[in-house]
Amino acid sequence: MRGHGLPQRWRFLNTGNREAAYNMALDETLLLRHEAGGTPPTLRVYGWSTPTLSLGYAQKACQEVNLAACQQYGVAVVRRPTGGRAVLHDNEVTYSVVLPTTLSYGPDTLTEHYRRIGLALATALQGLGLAVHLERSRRSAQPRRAADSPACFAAIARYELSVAGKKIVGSAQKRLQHTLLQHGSMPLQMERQRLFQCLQVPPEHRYAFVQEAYTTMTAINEIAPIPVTASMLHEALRQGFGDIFGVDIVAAPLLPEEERLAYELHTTKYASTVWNLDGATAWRHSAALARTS
Amino acid sequence: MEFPPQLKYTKDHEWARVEGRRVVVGITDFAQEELGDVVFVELPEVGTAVEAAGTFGVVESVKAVSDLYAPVSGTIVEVNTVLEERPELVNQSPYGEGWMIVIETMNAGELPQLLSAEEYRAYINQEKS
Repeated sequence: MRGHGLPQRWRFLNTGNREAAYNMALDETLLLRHEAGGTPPTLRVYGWSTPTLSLGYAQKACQEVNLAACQQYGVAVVRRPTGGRAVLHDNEVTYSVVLPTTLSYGPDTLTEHYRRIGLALATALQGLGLAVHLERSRRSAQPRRAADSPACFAAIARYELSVAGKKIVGSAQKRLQHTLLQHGSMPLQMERQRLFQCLQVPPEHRYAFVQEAYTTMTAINEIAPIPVTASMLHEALRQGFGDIFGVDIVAAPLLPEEERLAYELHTTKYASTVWNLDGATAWRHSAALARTS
Repeated sequence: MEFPPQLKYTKDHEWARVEGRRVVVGITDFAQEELGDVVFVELPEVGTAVEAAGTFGVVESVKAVSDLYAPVSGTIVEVNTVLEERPELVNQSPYGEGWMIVIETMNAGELPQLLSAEEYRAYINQEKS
């Protein structure tokens, strides 16, 4: 697939509200199957059947997650294939986009891919009346303490979206040789208190983190001129990506081999406590042991 | 941006310093600049076999998680474990203290397939255009 241009038609997938392990398994499946060749670029939208705290690829769950609180509040925990910090997914639309790293026009660099996807997200939100800003500075615009927060939404990175200085979309990316996956959380409403209850934040600092979160992060329906539903946002995303990438994005189903791989990754990886809590290295060791025994 | 002429390069943005059968590997100045602040590097254990263009590890930055690809096949004989605690060395010194692994290669025929500094510079200029 090296060097292939960007097809003019992408697939649109709306997989509805699903559990955490399936959501991550399907995103990784779309990435891997596209890398292997034979599947189109895909824009997927989805939600979460259970509130879920997702962790970045390298985050240490034992140091950053309050597992007892997650259990108490019915919050599932899953580790993403992508990087970054913790996100609480609940009342939100999650987007994921799988693309070749060789676009048919413009630079083929990580920075350009981030910028282009940021523009598509901005176009979608502007279409719903939100005055979003695409962050262009190279470094986090947030003060150092917020940047140290274990929460993804506490810091704005280059080409991420904000409204009046508050982050509104938290995105993360995974890159293979020829394909990238970028997914992100677009909260319709936000439970700041619950987020910091689920993280290992010293109790004496929790109030400060929550208060700070009101100044650093926001949700679509906290600022939208009219109430935005998930289906309105789905359509806006389809149009925004279509406009910015110059493609038609058309609903089409998963292929049988994608269904099979998603099932496999769901059961062997993303439903595994070893992957979710102990991390990638421990999971690879346990998978290797399972193969030899 | 610096691309030392004595090194070899890949289109996956790794560099290789050939020292007999030993090949020292890291990511290029362009790669670290594109990734932004590197926050995590996951490397294999000594003794692991790698294929040319096969993955040997993972690097996570503030922007993305990216797989790392071996420039040549062989066996990993050294790993820069300092990066576990100091991943920022990849940004600060991509060709020096930010080195990642040493591969002992048995296949010298793979080396001429790597890019020279000039060829690599031309390749990234094309990517950026």
